[in-house]
Amino acid sequence: MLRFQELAYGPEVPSNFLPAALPALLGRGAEAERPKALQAGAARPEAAERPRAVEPREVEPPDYTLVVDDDEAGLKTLSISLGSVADGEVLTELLGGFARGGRTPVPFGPRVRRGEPTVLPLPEEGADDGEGREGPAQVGLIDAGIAFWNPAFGGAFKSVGFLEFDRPPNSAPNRVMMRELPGGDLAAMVARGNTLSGDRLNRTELAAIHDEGVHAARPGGPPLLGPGDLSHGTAMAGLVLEANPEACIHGLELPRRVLLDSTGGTLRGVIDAAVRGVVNLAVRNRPPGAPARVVVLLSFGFLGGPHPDGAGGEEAAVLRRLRRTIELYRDRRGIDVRIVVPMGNHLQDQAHARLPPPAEGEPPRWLDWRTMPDDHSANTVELFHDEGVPDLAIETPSGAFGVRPGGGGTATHLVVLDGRPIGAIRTEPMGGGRSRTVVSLAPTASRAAGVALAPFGRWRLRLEGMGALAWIQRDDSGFDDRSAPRRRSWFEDPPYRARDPDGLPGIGDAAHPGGLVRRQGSASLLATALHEAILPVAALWTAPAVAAPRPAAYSGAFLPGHPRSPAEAGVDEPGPFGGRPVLGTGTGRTFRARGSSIAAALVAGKIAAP
Amino acid sequence: MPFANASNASNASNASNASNASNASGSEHAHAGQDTSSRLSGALDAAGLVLPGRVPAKLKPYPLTGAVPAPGSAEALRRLNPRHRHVLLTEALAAGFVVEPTAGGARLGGPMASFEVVPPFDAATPEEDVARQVERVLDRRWLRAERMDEILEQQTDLVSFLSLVHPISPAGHPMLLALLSAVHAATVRVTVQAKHILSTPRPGFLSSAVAPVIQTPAHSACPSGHATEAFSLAFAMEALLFGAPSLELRLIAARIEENRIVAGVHYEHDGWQGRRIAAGLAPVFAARMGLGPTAPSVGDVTAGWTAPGEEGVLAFHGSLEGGLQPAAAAPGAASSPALGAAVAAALAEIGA
Repeated sequence: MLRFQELAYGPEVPSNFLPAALPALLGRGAEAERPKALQAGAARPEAAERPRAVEPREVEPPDYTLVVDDDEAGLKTLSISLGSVADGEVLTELLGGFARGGRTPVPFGPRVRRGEPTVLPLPEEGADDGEGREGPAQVGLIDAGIAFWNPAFGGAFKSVGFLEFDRPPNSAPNRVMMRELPGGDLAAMVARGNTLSGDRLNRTELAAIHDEGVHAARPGGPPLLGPGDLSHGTAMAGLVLEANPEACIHGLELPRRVLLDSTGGTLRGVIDAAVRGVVNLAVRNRPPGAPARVVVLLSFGFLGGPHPDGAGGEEAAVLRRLRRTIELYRDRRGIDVRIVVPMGNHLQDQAHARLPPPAEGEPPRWLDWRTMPDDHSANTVELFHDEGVPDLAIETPSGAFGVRPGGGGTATHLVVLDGRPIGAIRTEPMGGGRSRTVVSLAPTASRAAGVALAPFGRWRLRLEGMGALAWIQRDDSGFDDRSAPRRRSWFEDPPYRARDPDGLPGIGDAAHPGGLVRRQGSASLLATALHEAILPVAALWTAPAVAAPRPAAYSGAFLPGHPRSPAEAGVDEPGPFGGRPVLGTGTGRTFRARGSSIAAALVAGKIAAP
Repeated sequence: MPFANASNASNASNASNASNASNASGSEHAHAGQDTSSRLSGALDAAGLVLPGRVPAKLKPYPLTGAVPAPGSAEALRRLNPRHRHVLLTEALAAGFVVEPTAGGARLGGPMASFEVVPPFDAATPEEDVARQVERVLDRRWLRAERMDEILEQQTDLVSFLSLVHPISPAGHPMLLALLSAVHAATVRVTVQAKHILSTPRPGFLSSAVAPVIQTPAHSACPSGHATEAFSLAFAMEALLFGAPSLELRLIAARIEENRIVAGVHYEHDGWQGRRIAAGLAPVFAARMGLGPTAPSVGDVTAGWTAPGEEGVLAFHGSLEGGLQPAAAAPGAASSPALGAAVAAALAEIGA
């Protein structure tokens, strides 16, 4: 039997309370690696133990936590310490990692004061009086696995920093800070980077300096990247230099947690910090006389809503914050910041659907949502609809049926199947006469006994009396973990056509005009920005027989009526393999890679040129 | 060793089992030398002419004992042709089980408390309920690519996977493997009878959407032979190797069970019924081997271990008060001298 148990959470919780708090709400803990931000008070290596002393440059105050108490029934009681958190400014933790019993802080993002993030304040310095903004821009590269010592890069890297979540003496959870690699160390690493032994030594030192990074061993596992593995950050730097051989690059290395959370939830929480961090690096370390102009390459994408469309829908909160950051730099420091983002690679993922309002006299349509067996990650859908808490009908894969009752304002419910909590639903107003409903289901598998699991298979969702736009929060990590695979979910709809009449992967929705599952709307949330300083980039492919480059079969698409068009760059070359060769390690070895981030890197290099 | 699911047509490889190969060799015979051939027979006949060729009135002196040899059961078991030994042990384990039809399924009884196994559906089941069971098979098809190696290997080989939990080899554990082979064969005897009675159509017979990735056996889907055999072997290995329930062995058996659903040849229900049968057989097998039982009761599996795969194992174990418990005390001697000798030799191989 499917039923819904109401929880008393009002509007004060952060916007992605779900799925961040899902494991706690379900009252069970996994024994997975506990993220460091949850290890309040845990002993951490002292700076003196490290081979290099790198002093913190910027430190933030402690933030806001949610406290979980385990009760005998297995359900949790939650209380939230008061604080102000910007809408959407959340660090999610989707792996579980909540200890059984006791009190566990759940991080929800950096504190906000008077509407501004406290993370990484503006630099003291900015553009000098009278200094023009024309001329070559600095390139700020936000990524992971940046082998800045690759001999092909020469002296292109002018500075390197590391974004970190928490570090002594600031051991409270969820602090975000940036550290900078001293210039002498940068020069030494680049100098020895042309040998295999130097490459190995550089990785070893980076692992010690940045133990949240991709080169450091994970608890119970090897580093996320080995010496021979393709690393995205290195590929991006190589492409920037391919487009602009004179580019001055400043790299900001992200913690591996950001990479492992493909929902973008973790990135949302640190995106301001990352942009501020790399801009500060670039401004501080730009060559003498160079204008205070920074092109930030943020080559990550994730799904979600809301998307602006022809009806004038609003930007997502994370984009409004980025807009404000860009304007603060421009207005208060005279620093010109542009952010280049890819359109994402979700065109074929069946991750977006449009539920039309029910026609007069007809029942509302079901939206089918497929979740995978042996999936160790939560599955989450966002629905954007008219303001209010709608009746939400749900049918489980086994045919159990229930209706989450509607109402007004905000509502949070546990989803209880046969007496066991397996998920949660929250509806909250978004402003502009719209509301957002988030449905989060527990993983379908776990290696631990006693963990709440949701059935896998075809779930069905139906909003009574209204239409909705739906996005899946993609939750696979992209990094293979055979011991605990995370698998994506998708929407299904019989009219959906995967192929066009020529048998190629479809790139539009013309073949399924009445279908619910849509390709238009599959753009990365970051790419939907309306601010002109945030530049979305789409990927194209070419072939000898093709008169003009065509959209790549993976490059995400805006909703119909979106007021902007993305920049474009060719990625997939003629030939049997697709993609294009990119650097990926500290050596000259090349890989063949494809994706809209490659297009974004080429455009970033190009617009940074004089 | 015949650890294949013998009920499947694909089990032609059983004929190539190592034990069968010995039929053509001298290993089972009481003389040294090369394999039998007409030329050797002629040569032996010729060479034998140099011997006196007379039978003495008294057979003494026989070496050491001075008597006509009468080997004990352990030695007798050791001297048996492996194929004969397999028959002997299987008969000792399988004796007395009864499988008979009931109105809704098949009743298993004999040396154990009787219980009924039922098919996933019958003629009275609403069509949409049958369709939902087929859909549950389809829900797992997304795992086929990554499980393909396991699916293919497990068509004919279960013990390689169960041996992940404890290293077993023909060289080091010949009698343990002989015992497990007999457990497997005794299990098959029961399972095929239940299959014959239930006669459940395979999922692929109901919908082409299932598109199984291996050739679908023609015989009944329910109970799952793989599930019954994998869990029967796992429970026997628990009793022999550990004297206690083994979460690891059960996880491997559950994976074998689930892979048959992933492949598209079983419903979830088939594995559950197979697990119930294995739980019913296990205490009988353990008692006949003179070992303490480790398996859950049929009632416990019926009520609390309904889900397939490792989630089913973990949910069941998570529900146990006090977790997994050691085996109950052994009932005493084995039920036959051959079984007793085999178990003693197997335990010696393990080092118990």
